Amino acid sequence: MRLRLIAGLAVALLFVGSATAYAAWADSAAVASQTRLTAGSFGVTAAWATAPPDFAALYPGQSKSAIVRVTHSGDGRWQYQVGAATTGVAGLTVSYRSVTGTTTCSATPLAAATWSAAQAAATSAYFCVVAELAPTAASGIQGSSVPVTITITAQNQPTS
Amino acid sequence: MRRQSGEHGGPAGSTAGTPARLRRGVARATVAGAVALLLGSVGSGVAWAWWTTTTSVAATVSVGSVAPVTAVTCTNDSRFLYDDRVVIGWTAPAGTVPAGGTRQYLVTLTAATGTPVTIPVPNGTSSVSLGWRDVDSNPSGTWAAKRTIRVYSSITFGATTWTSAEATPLRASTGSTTTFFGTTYRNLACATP
Repeated sequence: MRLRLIAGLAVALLFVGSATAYAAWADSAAVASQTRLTAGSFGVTAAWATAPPDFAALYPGQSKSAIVRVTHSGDGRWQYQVGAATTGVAGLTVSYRSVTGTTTCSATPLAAATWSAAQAAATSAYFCVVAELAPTAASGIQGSSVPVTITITAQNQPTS
Repeated sequence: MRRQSGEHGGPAGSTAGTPARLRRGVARATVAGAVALLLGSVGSGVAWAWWTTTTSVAATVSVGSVAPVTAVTCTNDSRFLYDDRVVIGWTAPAGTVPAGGTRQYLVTLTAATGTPVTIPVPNGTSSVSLGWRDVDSNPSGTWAAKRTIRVYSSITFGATTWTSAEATPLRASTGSTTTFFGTTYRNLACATP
């Protein structure tokens, strides 16, 4: 009887004792109060490098150009694209070109709605706006004058 | 305890595996596995986010125009024993001709009926003398009809020609005949438009 009791107790202890008991030391510390977490910032402005631009009195086969400066403020790399512009006047077009340095329009076309290469933070980029009247423009459009808005879209880029 | 439908073997309330529980268990495992597979395929892509902003610049684009001549005149040129003529004169537009353009002037004579007559005058000249043959070379034609005279400045840019608005004031001419010693003279004279 005693042996059965002892055997039963050992089995019970095996099942109970088979669970592992843990204990650990713990401690805590506070981060210094002047440590702050802030989000980055992102902003872009655009302006004519030479204001006001002169796109007046175009005659057939003539073109006039002006340079736009796009300036980034904030953190991280960025890139931009220029939206297509229309005049609504037959033969009168607005297109874009790249810029040599910061003051000279090149002959290289700049496609609208196409992202530029990544630019460094807090820098300026330049592109050239060209207004042109086709050589075959009809006499009936003489004196036409249209306002044009050129939209620049910018986005930030990861640092990786 | 009543046995549940689909159970077999074991005492009542037994938790031993039965076909019904097995089917439910397999179904749950299948659903869990499908969800895990779906999460694995969805979660394997990379998520991106970025800031975007827009700005703009504005400008006005305009087309040039051909300036008209001014101060149009009509002067009678009476000649003894010759057909009388009229001299149409004007003042050239100020400023230079746009690059790539070539200017000339166009003098048109328009009657109430019939086709207008257009006489080109080269740049650098600011008048033209007109006789009846310039209007209608047919002696019995429409040369004598009263005609309104208009003067335009015109610039050709290679593939296209632009013409100005008509100059002011408008002028007019009319024709008549005189006979002297059996010779008929056909005369043009300035008239009121």
